[in-house]
Amino acid sequence: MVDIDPESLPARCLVDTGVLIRSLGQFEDEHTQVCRAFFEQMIVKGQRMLVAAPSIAEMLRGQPQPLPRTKSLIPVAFDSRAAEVLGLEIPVAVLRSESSITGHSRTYLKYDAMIVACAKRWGATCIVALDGDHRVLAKYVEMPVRHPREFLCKQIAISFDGETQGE
Amino acid sequence: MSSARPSPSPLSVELHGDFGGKDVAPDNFDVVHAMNYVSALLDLLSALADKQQEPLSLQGMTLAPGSVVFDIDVEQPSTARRLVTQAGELVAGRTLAPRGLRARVTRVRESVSQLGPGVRSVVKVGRHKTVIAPPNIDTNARTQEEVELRARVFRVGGSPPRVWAITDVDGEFRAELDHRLAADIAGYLYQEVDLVATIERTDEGRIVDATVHRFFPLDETEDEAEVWRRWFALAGSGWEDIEDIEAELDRNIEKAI
Repeated sequence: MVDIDPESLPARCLVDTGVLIRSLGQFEDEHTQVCRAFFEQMIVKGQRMLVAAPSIAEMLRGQPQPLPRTKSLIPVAFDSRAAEVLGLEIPVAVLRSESSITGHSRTYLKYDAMIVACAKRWGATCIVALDGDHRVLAKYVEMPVRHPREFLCKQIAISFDGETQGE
Repeated sequence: MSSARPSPSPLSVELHGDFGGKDVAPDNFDVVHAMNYVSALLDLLSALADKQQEPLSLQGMTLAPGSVVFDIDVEQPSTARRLVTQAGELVAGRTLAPRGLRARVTRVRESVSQLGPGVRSVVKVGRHKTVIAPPNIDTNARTQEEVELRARVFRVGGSPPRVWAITDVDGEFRAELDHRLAADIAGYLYQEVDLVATIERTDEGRIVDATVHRFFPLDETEDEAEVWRRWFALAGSGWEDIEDIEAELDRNIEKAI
C-alpha cells in the first residue's frame, strides 16, 4: 500500500513511458505500485499529465486505437515549437558530447531529447520518470526529473512515549 | 622603470541590416533590444574569461557615429579575439556550452534574435571579425502548421463565424471555422475541447491566425484511468509479455534518481 501526498503533486508534468506502461498495463515489478498510485492521484486531483508523442509511439504495440481524449492525460505533439526547443537548447553539439560521455548513440539520445523538448515546449514543470537517462538532457532545458516515489506521503515516526515526530 | 599601461583597443559590436524597412542606423535601432543584446554578449565574454581564468577588462563604451557600432575599450585584445570567437561558436551551437554558461548563451541567442529579422551582429577586435548569430533556425519567420490544441472555448459567433479559445501554454487566440462547426462547438462553451486547426504564429509563438477544421470533446463520462487502461490493453497489447520494460525501451533505471 502506497500513499501519495496530493499536495506534493505537480500541476503539470510530463510522464515518461516507463511510468505510463506500469500505470496502464498488467506489468508488475517493484515500481508498479508507486507509478499507479501517482497516476491515479494525479487524476483525482485534476492535475495535468502530458504524454509526449514519441512516448505514445513507444507504447503502441498492438491494435491501432484512437487515443482517448480525457482531462488529465494529454498527448502532446512534437511540433515546430518543440523542434525549436530541441534545436536551440539541446543542439547537436550537446548530443555529440553526451553521446561520448554516456556511450549512447546520438540516434538514441535524439529520441530522449524529443521527449525532453516536448516537456519544455508544452509547459511541464517537471518530467516524472523512473529512468535517469532523461536527466542527462533535461538539465539543458532546466527541467527537473522526478521519480514517482518523491510524491509519497512522508513517513511519520512514532516514539515510545506516543509522541509523533516528523521524519 | 615604469611599465606603461597598454592603451585599450576597441571591441566593436556592430549591428547591420534591415530594421523596419530601413538600414539599421543610430536614429532607428531598437535601443532596449540592442542594449539587452550588448549586455548579454559582454556578460558571456566576462563569464568565459572568468571560467578560463583570463583577465579581461571591458571599460568604457561609445556609440560610434554614422552607424550602430558600440565600441567597448578592451585592454587585452588578443584574449578578447579568442573569447569572441568562442562566444560565436557557442551562440551558434557549434560547440557545447560548459556548465554555468548555458543560461548566458541562451540569453545572447534570444537577445540577438530580438534585434529584428533583418538585423545581424558582427563583433570586431582589430581586423578580426566574428558573426554572432543563433543556430541556423529561422525563428523569426511566421510558421504555419496543422496542430491539435487542448483549449477552453469562451466565445463563439460572428459572421463569418469565429471561435475564441484559450490554451494553457499558447494563450488566447481566435480562429475561423465553418457555420456547422461553430454551431456544434457552441455546445461546449466554457469547456475544454481538442481543436484540430491550421495556425500561424508570430516569432514569439503567439497564434495570430487560425482556422479550425475539426474538434473533439473530452470524454468525461467515465473513469479516466479505466478509459486509458482499456486503450492500452488493445493498443499496447504487445507489452504484455515483456519482462523488463526499461531493457525493451533501451533505458536505464537510475537507482538514485
